[in-house]
Amino acid sequence: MMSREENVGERRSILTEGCPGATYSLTRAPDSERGSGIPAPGHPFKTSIPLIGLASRRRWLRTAIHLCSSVFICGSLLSCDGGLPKSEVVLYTSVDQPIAQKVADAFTKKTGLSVRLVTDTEATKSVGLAERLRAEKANPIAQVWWGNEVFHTIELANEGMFQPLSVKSFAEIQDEFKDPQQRWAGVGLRVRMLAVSENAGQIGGSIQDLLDPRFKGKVALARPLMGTTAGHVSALYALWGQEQADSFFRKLKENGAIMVGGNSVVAEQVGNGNLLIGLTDNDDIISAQRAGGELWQIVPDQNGDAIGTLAVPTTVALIDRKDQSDSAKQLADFLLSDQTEQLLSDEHFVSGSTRSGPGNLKVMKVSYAEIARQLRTAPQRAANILDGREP
Amino acid sequence: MNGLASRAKDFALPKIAPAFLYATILLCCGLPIVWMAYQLITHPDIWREAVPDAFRWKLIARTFGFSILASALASAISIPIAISLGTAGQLVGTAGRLVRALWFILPVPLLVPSVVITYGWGMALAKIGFDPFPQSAGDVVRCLIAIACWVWPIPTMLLAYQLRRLDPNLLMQARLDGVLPRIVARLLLPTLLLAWLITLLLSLQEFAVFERTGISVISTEVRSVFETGASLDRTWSMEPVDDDAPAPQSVRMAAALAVMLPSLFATGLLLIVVALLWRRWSVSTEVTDDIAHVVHPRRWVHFVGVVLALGIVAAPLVAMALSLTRRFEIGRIIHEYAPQLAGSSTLAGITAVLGGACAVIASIRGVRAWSVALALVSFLIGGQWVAIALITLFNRPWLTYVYDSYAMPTIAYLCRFLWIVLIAAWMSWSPNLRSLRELASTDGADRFATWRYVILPITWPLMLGAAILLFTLSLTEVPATTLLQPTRTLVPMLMTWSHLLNYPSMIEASLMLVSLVMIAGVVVTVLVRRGVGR
Repeated sequence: MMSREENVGERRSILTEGCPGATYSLTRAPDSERGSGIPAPGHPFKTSIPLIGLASRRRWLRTAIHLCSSVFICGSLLSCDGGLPKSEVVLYTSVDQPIAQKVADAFTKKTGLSVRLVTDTEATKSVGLAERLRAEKANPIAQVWWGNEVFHTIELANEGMFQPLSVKSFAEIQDEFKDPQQRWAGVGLRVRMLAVSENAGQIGGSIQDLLDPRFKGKVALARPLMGTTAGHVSALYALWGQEQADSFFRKLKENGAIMVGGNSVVAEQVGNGNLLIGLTDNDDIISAQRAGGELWQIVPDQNGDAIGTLAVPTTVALIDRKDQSDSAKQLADFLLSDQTEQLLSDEHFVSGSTRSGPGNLKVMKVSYAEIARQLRTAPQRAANILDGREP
Repeated sequence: MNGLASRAKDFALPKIAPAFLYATILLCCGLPIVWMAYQLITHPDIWREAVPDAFRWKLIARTFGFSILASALASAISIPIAISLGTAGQLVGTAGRLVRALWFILPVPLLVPSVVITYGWGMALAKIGFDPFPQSAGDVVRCLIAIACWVWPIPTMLLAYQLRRLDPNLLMQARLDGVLPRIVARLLLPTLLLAWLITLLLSLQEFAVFERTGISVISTEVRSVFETGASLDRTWSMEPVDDDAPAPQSVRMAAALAVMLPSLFATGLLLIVVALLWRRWSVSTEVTDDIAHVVHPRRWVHFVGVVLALGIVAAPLVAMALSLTRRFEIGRIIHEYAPQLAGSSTLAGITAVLGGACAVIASIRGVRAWSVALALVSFLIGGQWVAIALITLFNRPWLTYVYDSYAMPTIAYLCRFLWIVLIAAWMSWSPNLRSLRELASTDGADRFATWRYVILPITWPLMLGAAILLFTLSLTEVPATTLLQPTRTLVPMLMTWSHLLNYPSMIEASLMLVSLVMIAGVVVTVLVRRGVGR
């Protein structure tokens, strides 16, 4: 009959089979190393079997624990930075990231202040960030808002998100492109355009061309819930009234119009010939042309008594927070400056100025405030119609 | 005094450790779920949104239809690769090394964000002239290819593993009877079903693939409802709406949650089925690799497997590299993206350390099944909801230090991926290792000493592999990172560029991320193989 120790050793040999890392050894240690063999009360580990390389493993474990602790403590310290460093400004912007980054870099170069950019994805332009601002209203993280359009900015201003924009550049902006209550101001004008494939043939140069049966199934616009497309749709509802606008979108649906994930996709798909015509922004058409797309840009509705197109300024505002810094005001001032407008123009992001106005461009005669009011429901109605969700 | 006893005593686990583990699980995984339940309970008026209208039924059917097809495609892709991997035991020379090297490539697609895979495949298919009309059948096929080429490693790994543990005697008999293919297929069928269901669960959560092209699925609809109140009655009733105020954010959140409920319910059912199948699957016999003695596929089978696997991984990368219009200079790229790289790595590092600590505690003290289940459920909720919940819960003046810090994304990542390290810890309580623990206990070892001197030497590769996996997944997580954007990180940058085809910065950043993930993937594979081998 086996003794207890022999029995344990037997079990050990079975259990550790195939476990090369197991530290049990069947080699029995000398009695002097094993102690009495009788478990001492209170000892946490009283095996009489020696463990291989214990000291080196112990050092390894200690080093690992110290390393992990250091990383965690450093990380925690980094995270608990006591709020923002004084030299950093948080900018929430729906302007395309590559453009916004260039402007932020120019600001940093000029002032030495760094900018933390928080940007939006193409599919959720403006809306995603506006929602985040709303969620953070009680405790805003952002200091400056730079929207790629004006409508959500007006909504946010009406919800009390902004404080007066007391910066030097504000006075240089035309009244039409700034808030009478000084809560926001525009910089650069983006223009809604028709992207037309080179294979589309002759067109009339109006958004009514989107209903042309020749283009059936080859028409697109971005899903109108977000970005400038939402604003354009709202402008049509404001200008035409609900009945006429609904009718337009029903006809658009009948003409096989599709909604894609962003204005850039519209331009790209027209450029590669999948689509013949689409409604999009000037900068997206330029980008598609630069990428080799075969398409033209046409400013719609410029003739006679046509309705004109929608010119949309990018908008700058200061977030309403108790600890608003001078750095933030500096950034807002810079964003509204001539220099920024020129940079946006050089990048073909805007095609007009809020200082000199739209010039010869015929724009829709409807106020931004009215469009912003329509924004609450008009894009939804249009999307529902295009989705075929009407009851 | 016995020296060993005193050394062991030095490392006694603090009593607060289990509290830390469960506090982490409850804070990171439990709190968002409780918040979601609270939103639903306090807004009974929006429950009607949970009842789908005709449009939503179509949306649900489309989401499940696409996911079923994508996971079936992934399973089909996996079969030849799995056969090659599973029967390569006796393969020698270059061919053998090449096939076995596939194990190291397998984790890469899974660890790369789907937005990068989609972007790469979009370019690869465009290069061969496949640039379908948006939302057409061809476009759907493009999306399905992107999803399948993202999740295929899951069925591949499971099938290859199952092949290696088939009973060789049974196979020999089948071979003598001339019915070997049929018998192998029958034996693999349950594993194939399990793999298909797991990939289906992952596919159901996907939205980055569809977003660009405008195809609506449940995830895009949920986001749309949250951000615009898209489906509230007042907007689809087509009544005059001029004086309507926008729906409060809390109502929209609840409405979006309600929209998600039917698919969440279906996902929950799927998860139960998967869990039951997994339980049966995982208790089968151990890997013997004896199949290689019985089944000798011809060389061309291995050739097909290797070419297919390498092709799927390489095609999007090559397409991106070929589309790059400027030189790929590693030094410049690392310098250019250093802030994002540092931000992402720090966040992922903190997450991995905390997750690793949880795994260690769970491995020492044990982990309860409910906590693993909770972590799994919080993963299935998806990153969008976790981020929305965290923004709502933590954005308070007295919590600014938490909210505007690395804590938010860390909590979000742990909410999504803590289950991985918990399962790794759970594996350290397998019947074999439990017997070892009992044995050590018989010898008088306490829990910590048992873990330190018996369990850790056996399981450390698995635990470390799980922690590195947690690091990598945190590095590449998309939905929560995009919404939270705590500091400069890589993924939100990619998301803002993903619509710009042929954009050099997007290509460079994507290739850099893939390179990082490849290194991590190789390390994880080495560690996990070593861990499982023990």
